[in-house]
Amino acid sequence: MENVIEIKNLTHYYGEKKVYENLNFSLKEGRIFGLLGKNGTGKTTTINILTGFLKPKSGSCTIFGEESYRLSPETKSRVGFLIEGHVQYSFMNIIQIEKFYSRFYPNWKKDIYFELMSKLKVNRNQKLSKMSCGQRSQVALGLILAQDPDLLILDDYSMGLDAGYRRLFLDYLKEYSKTEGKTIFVTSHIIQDLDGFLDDAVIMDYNGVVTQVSIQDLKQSFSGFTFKTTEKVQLFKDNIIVNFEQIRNKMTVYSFKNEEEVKTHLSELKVEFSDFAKIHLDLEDSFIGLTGKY
Amino acid sequence: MLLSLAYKEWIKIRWAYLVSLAIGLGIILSIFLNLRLLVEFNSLKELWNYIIFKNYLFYSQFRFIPLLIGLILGIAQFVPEIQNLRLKLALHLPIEETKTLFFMVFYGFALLTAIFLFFYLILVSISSSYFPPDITNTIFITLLPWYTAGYAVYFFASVIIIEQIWVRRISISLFAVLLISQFFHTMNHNAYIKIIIPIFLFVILLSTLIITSGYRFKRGLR
Repeated sequence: MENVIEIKNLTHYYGEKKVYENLNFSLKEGRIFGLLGKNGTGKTTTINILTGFLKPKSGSCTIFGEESYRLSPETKSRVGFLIEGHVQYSFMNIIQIEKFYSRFYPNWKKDIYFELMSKLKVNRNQKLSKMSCGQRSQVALGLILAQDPDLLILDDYSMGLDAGYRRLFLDYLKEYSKTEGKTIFVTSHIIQDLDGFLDDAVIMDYNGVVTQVSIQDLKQSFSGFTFKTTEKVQLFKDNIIVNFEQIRNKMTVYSFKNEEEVKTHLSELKVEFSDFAKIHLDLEDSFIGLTGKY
Repeated sequence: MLLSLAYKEWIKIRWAYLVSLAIGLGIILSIFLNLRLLVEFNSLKELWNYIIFKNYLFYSQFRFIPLLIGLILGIAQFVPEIQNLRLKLALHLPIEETKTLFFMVFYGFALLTAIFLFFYLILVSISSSYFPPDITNTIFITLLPWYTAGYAVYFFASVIIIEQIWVRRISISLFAVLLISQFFHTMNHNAYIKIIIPIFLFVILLSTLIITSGYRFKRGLR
């Protein structure tokens, strides 16, 4: 499978402030890829570089083999871009905006757009600026799907949306991606919604990438364990313990190792433990486990 | 594709354009009514003398209207593009980015030209009903500095609004004020006749400045 996006040794600073150094990841065709990270870890910076609206300090970022800040019109027509906050031409109405965009894209799929619009309980002459955030998100989604791009870049699609609209958004995207074989790159601050949606993820922390994994591998190999211990115990992150959290005498440890290996490691560290149990981790738990709560 | 861009620009600025048209027509109506009063209370010969020897301009009220219209159009066209960084949508369209930016400015220039020409023709028809051709013929060259100021403020507005770096915004604004003030030093007939054509061409060249602001916007320079 071809790499749709390739990021190599990407480094960016805002003035003296480092955002990240030597960021590397790639995105394969037909996959749904999530860029997950807390606020301020560089998600929007990465999206801006990816969509050609920010020049990185060094490194390269290519989309379909072209440098992202010099995309040809042909390649741009293969990339659907949802701006954070579902920004669109709010001075237009549903009909006008469809008419505007349809002339730019040869494979324009009018039916998909109007199918989504029929679910909105709004007058077709109503301007986007008079719509709710949820309704505007559906217009933005409908336009991107009608464009029929090979790659969809969605910058925090969930911003301002209630649970129903978020679900509707992802259901449509998933169906579209799987039936049409499209590639999706998404960021969101609501990670629990992406559970069952993503194929792969890059998880970012303040120091750069924590890990790039397939969600299936993450669920199989990353675990959480709880046990009781003494309040005075001191743990440190190492090659077994990825992260840990202690609330009084209850300890939670996160690791890519299995239960026996973690137990052995704790014994080697002379940590007293009892009531040792493995806990089920969903995507959000895994994210917290990898990056911590703070 | 360019037709589609024109469609978007028109939807965005049509109300501002109609307001500009109404302002211009309102002022011209006022000029016409004043002129009728003058003609009623003075002989035409007296009025002609007044125009020729005292440099009286019966349409002097119109002086700042092109400037105002250029400003209204510039704001109406480019402020929505910069709100929520909406310009990203236009720059992500499958067209060369410079072509998109140039087209936006060209579209505004064309609309300004249309409205300026329309006002000019009305003023000419009013003038020709009361005055000899010698007086009417000076209207074009007298209006040209004011129209040039209208184009200049429009081009400067496009650059200043899209520009994301405040120091540059302020510097360009100061330069704009300095340049545009030059068009209003005198109201004499044909006052700018010797220099207006090169100045007009220079102002037209200002339309290319949008590329520099657009480039900085594209590279994320804030």
